[in-house]
Amino acid sequence: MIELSPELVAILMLGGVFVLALTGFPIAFVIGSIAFFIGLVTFGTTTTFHILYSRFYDLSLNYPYLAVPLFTFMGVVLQKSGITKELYQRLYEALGSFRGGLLLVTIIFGTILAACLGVIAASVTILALIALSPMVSRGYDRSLAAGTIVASGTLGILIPPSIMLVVYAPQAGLSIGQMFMGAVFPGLILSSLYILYVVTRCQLNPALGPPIPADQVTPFTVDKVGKLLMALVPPVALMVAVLGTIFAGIAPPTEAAAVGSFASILLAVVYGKFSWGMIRDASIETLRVSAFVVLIAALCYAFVGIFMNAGAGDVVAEMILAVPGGRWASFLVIMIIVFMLGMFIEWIGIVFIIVPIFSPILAKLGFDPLWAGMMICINLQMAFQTPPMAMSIFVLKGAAPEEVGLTMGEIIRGVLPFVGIIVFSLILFTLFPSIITWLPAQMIGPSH
Amino acid sequence: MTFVRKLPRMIDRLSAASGAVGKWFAVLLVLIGTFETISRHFFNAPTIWAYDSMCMAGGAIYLLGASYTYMKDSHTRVDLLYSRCSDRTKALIDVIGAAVFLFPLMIIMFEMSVTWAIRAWRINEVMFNSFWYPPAAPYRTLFAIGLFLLLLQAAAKFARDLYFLVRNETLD
Amino acid sequence: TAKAADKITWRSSGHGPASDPSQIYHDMLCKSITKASDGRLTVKPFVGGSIVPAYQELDAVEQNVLQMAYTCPMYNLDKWPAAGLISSRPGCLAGNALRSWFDFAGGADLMNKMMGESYNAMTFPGALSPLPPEVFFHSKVELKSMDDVKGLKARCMGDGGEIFKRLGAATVIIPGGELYEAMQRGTIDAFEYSTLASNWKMHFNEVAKYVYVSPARAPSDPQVFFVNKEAWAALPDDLKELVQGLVARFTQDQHEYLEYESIKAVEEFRAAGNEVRQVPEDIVAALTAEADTFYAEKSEKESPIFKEIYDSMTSYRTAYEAAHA
Ligand code: NA
Ligand code: NA
Repeated sequence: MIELSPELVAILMLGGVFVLALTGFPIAFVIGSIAFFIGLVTFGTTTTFHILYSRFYDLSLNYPYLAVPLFTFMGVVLQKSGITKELYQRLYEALGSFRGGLLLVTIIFGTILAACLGVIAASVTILALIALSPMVSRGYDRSLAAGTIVASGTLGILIPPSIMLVVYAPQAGLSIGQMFMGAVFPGLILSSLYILYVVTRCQLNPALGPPIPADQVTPFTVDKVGKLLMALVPPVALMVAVLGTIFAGIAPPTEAAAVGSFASILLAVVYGKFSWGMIRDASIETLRVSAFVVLIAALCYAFVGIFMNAGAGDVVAEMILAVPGGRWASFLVIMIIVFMLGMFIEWIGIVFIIVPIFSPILAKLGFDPLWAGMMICINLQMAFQTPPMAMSIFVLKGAAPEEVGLTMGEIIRGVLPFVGIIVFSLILFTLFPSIITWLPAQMIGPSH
Repeated sequence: MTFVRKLPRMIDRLSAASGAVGKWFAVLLVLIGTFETISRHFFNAPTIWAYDSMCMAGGAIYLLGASYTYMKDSHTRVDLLYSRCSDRTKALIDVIGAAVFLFPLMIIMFEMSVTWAIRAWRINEVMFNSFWYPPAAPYRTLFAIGLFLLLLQAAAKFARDLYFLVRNETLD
Repeated sequence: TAKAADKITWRSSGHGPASDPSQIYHDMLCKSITKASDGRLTVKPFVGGSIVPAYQELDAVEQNVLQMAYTCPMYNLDKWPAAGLISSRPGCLAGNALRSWFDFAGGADLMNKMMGESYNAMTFPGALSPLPPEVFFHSKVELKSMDDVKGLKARCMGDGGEIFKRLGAATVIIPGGELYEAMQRGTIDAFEYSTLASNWKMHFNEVAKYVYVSPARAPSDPQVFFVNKEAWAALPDDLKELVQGLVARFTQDQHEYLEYESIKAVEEFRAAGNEVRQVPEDIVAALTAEADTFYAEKSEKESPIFKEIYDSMTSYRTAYEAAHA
């Protein structure tokens, strides 16, 4: 065994993840193996094997993580039942005649989807399949269309329900329910800022989002409004099923996710879209997604055990606390570290590696844990869109119909202004922290 | 030789079967969670088994899904550079990656999981999240089986990649 | 300062988050050993869950991943059913009674016997720190008699959960972190968690009007220091003496400190508008009787060590009560 200094271990382990992830080998094994080899060198076989196995096994039985399979299941059922496609069509009929109307529809639709689905990539996939072709074929700016899909699709992992918040909260010792409530206003504000941005751009340059030609506009009838409202029923019903179950005390969040999944099946039945094939598809998709998500989580959790045992956690904490300029400078450093990691590493890896290190520091610096946690999650939400490791961009690229022929460059150019908007919103939430903390505070008042 | 050439495809079928069985645990998870909610809220009759059963069902999904997901090449990659590589370079990365990042770690994890599964049967280990105290051995065993299937699938892919690298043609 | 060759390094973990008093006392002990031994024995403290998952510290000591750990016996129920007897056995030994049983009436020896010759970890007299009794229940509803316990939707873990279920309560299993919201939104009506002081820090005054106190349900959830047998054997005699002495001091300090904190917490709950009440006699009597039946049945079914520990604690309770009557 070689006595590596904690500083060296910190650099080798974090740097190793950065560099070796770029080989493109599945990241779960890369992260696990870095811990494995560093552990072998530093602690020898018995300790390393025991730490890695015990943590791996323990995480596989983790209760809050059950939200991963449960929300995935719900999302897939919703998608396969065609309920989402119907909603887009109705929104389009209502708003298509404005400049940039389809962009508006995409953002509103993305926000509604976000309140139904909580899984990575689910909303982006649905938007890519449903919203991209109509915009491109009607002469909308390809970059702006792509950026809008990525940004509003990514809202799905911020606005509750959200896998990211579900994963984050127990790591930081926060309540999932409170995190959900804390994300509502930031999510809605981001959505409004996106709308403001696309509307402004299209007003300044109508060529970016031409309205439907006047001769194709159908009159706005009661019938149309009725259809739109009907299309809104299923997603609203699901929102009520999940959030209502939590809020009314019928069940805690994990069970509420099960209720939501069950409700999505009932909805499919009610709308005549149910089939056993749909259940089979939903469950195999759930298996595929949860297996990779939880394997990453489990091996990152194992990674943290070796990292902490080597004293590397203390090194990082001391470094942040030693930043000159007081607590806000330390906070800025933390946010920058999260942002930098977010450019290169999957969000789950980041949550697992940084939260155990940063939460105690943030508490020590006197920041409200809920506010600080939400700031980090909004920052992580941005990481989905920052190249080179940008999950949402990959998903759009993968799911975009062949004939559209969208290039990576077009997507990235379209996404960057939205990243700017998120940074702006982070500053906004720092100046007005109650945007985050007000709603959760409403639900925790004394009950007698 | 023909038997050896057939092996990877047999392993694929095993992984597909693992996924086919594992996926039903997702349905089970939904049903148990819903049942517990209804039973507790509307009938004042909470169960003592729902909590642990859900945890184990989740674990079964992840572990039985591990090999299936590997077969589908769905374990997340940072494919920034990887996606631009030729098929041969990809095969090379996967051969080296598996040799360095997958086999050493996962073989040890499998060995540990067997040791702890045997121990669980021997000492009648239980889970104590609830006072249901279900035995831990069946789940510890499933955990080991999941890792074994993952290793098999990784070996199959490794053989295919290596064959492709050396012969410049696909194995199957 | 000691020569490099004589220097020994141990790793030790508590089971709590950094803010948990048992973790704080654990960390203080580690630093104290390092200081008192003038660096000959450095004990690095770790927070629960940072190296191995929380509550799995003892297995890590057994594997020599850790050389020392501070954890509750009941977190080892996965291996030894009798571990639950020493932790918070409903109706049994509280506070100083438990510690004196452990130190002088063979408790430590029985625990070592329970873990077994081949298990590579051990404990010693002085290593047990009893918590003050846990709060019996935080409840939204008034508990006037056993009738109110019947059908009560209460979060209750461990053997106590089983016993309350036998008494007719609707026992719910919910992780500690979800309790606050579950109470607030009416998923449950009552719950047990920890001691008065810990529960006060969790803001439970906001979700339940009544605070019911009685040592009957969880007389004294103790934390115990365990060491790896080989690491212990390798210590020179003077360091063994030093470690054992400091362990005894810090476990006693923690016990006294938490007793004091619990007394203060009663005032705090009252000032916040809660009603702090004694549990009605008939509930205590029913619980104690049911617990005795439950454990008597269990001790016939489990391995001999279970009965041995059960009998030892039960006869000590009788003797202790005779001396304090
Ligand atoms: Na969402
Ligand atoms: Na990124």
